[in-house]
Amino acid sequence: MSFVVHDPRGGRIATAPSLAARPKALAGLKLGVLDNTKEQADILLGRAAHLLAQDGAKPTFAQKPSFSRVAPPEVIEQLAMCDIVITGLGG
Amino acid sequence: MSCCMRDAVTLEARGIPTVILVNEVFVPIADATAALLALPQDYASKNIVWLPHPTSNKTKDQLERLIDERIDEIRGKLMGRAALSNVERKTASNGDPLEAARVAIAGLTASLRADGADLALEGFRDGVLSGTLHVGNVTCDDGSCILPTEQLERMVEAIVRPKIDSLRGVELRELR
Repeated sequence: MSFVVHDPRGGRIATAPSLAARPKALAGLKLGVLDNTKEQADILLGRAAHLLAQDGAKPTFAQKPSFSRVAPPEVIEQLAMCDIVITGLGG
Repeated sequence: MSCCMRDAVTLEARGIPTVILVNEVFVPIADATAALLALPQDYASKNIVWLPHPTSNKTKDQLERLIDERIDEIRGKLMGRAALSNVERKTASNGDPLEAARVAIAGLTASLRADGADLALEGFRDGVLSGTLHVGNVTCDDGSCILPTEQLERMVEAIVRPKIDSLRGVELRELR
């Protein structure tokens, strides 16, 4: 009997993806908060959003259906309207 | 957590700086995922904020305190001028390669302990990092939850290499 073993980490990317330029300040920026639904993620991200809002960031919250899958296109599109994003929980 | 990183990379490609909250025990997974995604070697240090593992057993107050203690780091990483995280600070504060290697594999060590094994790095000589894998009462019946020693050597080497320029190899002795 033979088995096919799949690598759970997904595909390899050959070329380095580009990373976004960073803002100089957070005041007035739209802050996307992507909750991956892992236990306690909402508390951790909620607290971070609360504190960053004190810097003038304007939080908007999104949740993906499962932490074990990448965010679906509609969630990415929702966050694409933001200037910065925090996500989690890798736990 | 690899999905969090993939989401972050998708958003970064759309021009949106993205910071991820991750438990420290997943340092090896973050490193492996970063390599798969062809991310810069300093991606994790610039974009991930590490939390002590586990978080699932903490109260709301304890969790909020974890964020309070790291909000400067979160803010800094969003703006690209991050303060060193606790993990990075420990690594940077000590020039001893053996100690740097031990700090680098702390997450892996914690994962192994959770499965009933222990990995102790004991020496660094002529570019070779040596240590012992103690396999005790593992949590799986057949021992398959502990990676074969050769694979662990490769994993340790991949994790430690960015921290120690002179690293040539890793040799682990297995004790059962």
